[in-house]
Amino acid sequence: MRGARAVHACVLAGMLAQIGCTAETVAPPPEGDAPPPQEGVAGADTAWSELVTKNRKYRIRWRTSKPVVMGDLFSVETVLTGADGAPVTGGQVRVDARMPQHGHGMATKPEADPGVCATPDTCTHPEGRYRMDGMKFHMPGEWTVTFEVDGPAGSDRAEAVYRL
Amino acid sequence: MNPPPLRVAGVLLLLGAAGCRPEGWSAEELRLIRSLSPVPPPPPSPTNGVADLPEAAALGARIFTDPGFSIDGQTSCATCHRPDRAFTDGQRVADLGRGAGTRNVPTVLGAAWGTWFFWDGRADSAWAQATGPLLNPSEHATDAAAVHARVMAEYRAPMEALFGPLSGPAGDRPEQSLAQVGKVLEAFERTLPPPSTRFDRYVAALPAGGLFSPEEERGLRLFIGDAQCVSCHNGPLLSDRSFHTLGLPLPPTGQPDPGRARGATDVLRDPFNCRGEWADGAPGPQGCPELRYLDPSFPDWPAAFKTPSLRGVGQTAPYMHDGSMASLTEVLLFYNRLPGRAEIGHRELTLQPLRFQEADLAALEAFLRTMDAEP
Repeated sequence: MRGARAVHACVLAGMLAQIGCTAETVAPPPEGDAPPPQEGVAGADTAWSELVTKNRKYRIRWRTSKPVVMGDLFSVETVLTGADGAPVTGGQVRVDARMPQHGHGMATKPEADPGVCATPDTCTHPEGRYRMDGMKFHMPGEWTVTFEVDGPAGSDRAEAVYRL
Repeated sequence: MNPPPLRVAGVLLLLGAAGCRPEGWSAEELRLIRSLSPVPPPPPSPTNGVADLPEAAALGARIFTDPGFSIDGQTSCATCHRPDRAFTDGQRVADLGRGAGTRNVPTVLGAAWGTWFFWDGRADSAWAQATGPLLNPSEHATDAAAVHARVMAEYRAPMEALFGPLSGPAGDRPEQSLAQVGKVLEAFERTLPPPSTRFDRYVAALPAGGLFSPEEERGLRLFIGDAQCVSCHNGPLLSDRSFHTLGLPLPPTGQPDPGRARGATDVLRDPFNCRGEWADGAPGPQGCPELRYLDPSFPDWPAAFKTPSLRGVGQTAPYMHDGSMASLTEVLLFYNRLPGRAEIGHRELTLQPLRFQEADLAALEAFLRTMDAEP
């Protein structure tokens, strides 16, 4: 309910200015409910939000590394767990973002932190922690943040909406 | 203006649900307005070790007005960046008799707050930018060796006091002198903040009013609301520091200006960029995140140009990257109609004709003039 109210407020603010509003987390539905949310979730500044991937293979907790300032670089930190709640240390999480109403994405090429690597081919992410560097929102408005996940349960993806 | 019914409904909903007072500002509007003022201190210039030294700024001020750094001995930075004209020249494009430029002379006021420099962002620091006009055949038309010779003849002692012994006194590494001249010029530019304005006093006094006329207040409301100027002209500099395509008419040459599409490529190979050997602090590739993550092939870069600051905008005519619009009135009429189309690239999708009535355009212009520099 809190999240829904925040999103509603953002929609109203968006009519006026489309700037400077971030919504709260919508908690994922309990196991067994029909389809999990893939959107409508926004990352509040540096606060953790939670997502369930589209096919329910993974849970993602994510946040921005610092309060997002338009035109400034930031990182997205994620914690990846399997459906059983156990951290996924050997996976990959690639984060991207687009502005669907503008028809474009970011003007940067973000890079995934490789994790802890014994060799370049044997990297792990202790405690299931991943990071995407080089994110930048260069315009206010609605950004769709996508998480492409690879892990032991296969590929899956999730989306969140971030209003700047 | 005559807003479409949906917009009217939206505003009414907003007023009702968000608790706006029609005669005042909502909490969200206040938050938005306050994001535009005051101007914070400038960010550091990590690749310029003398950026904030008063001695460097003083030396930069001398060099800024020294025509000795030009091929004809008559052109200084101040020739085009005239202090009496808000550091612009009032011309559509500069013409120093060596072939006219293709872009309008931007002000240097507030340069220290920038991320990318030039209209196309082909420099990633103010000091790297300052080397560009020195070498440009249409501007100073000099070269690194001549810059070095001028430094040795006129500025050797103060430059060595700042930078240590010149490693190439015989002129074998003249680029070093060019970079150092750029760095003292940046130090000087860092003493030139964006103009303080009546708008700043208005924001500081909020929620009390009184400093704006009803027309100016209405202009501000349109600026952050229906006109959506704030989509790009945001933050304390009234610029998002990014690049956008407006779809202006082709230049007289008929050749589209590639804008950011070329600037993003150029900055990556600029020898004076953050990764270059002349950058202080040896940041290396990992220490230059803007360059590291820059996407030169971003599809919206063609014909995109940097969003200019609106601080002091009333003093920087003519407007647009090509100087093609003589007045703020003309600029607002352009946004009102959005004629033509982008010859290359594509116009921002959210950029739609305002279709305002004259009174609303006048209100917007009145608001923009609250950004005039105050003494």
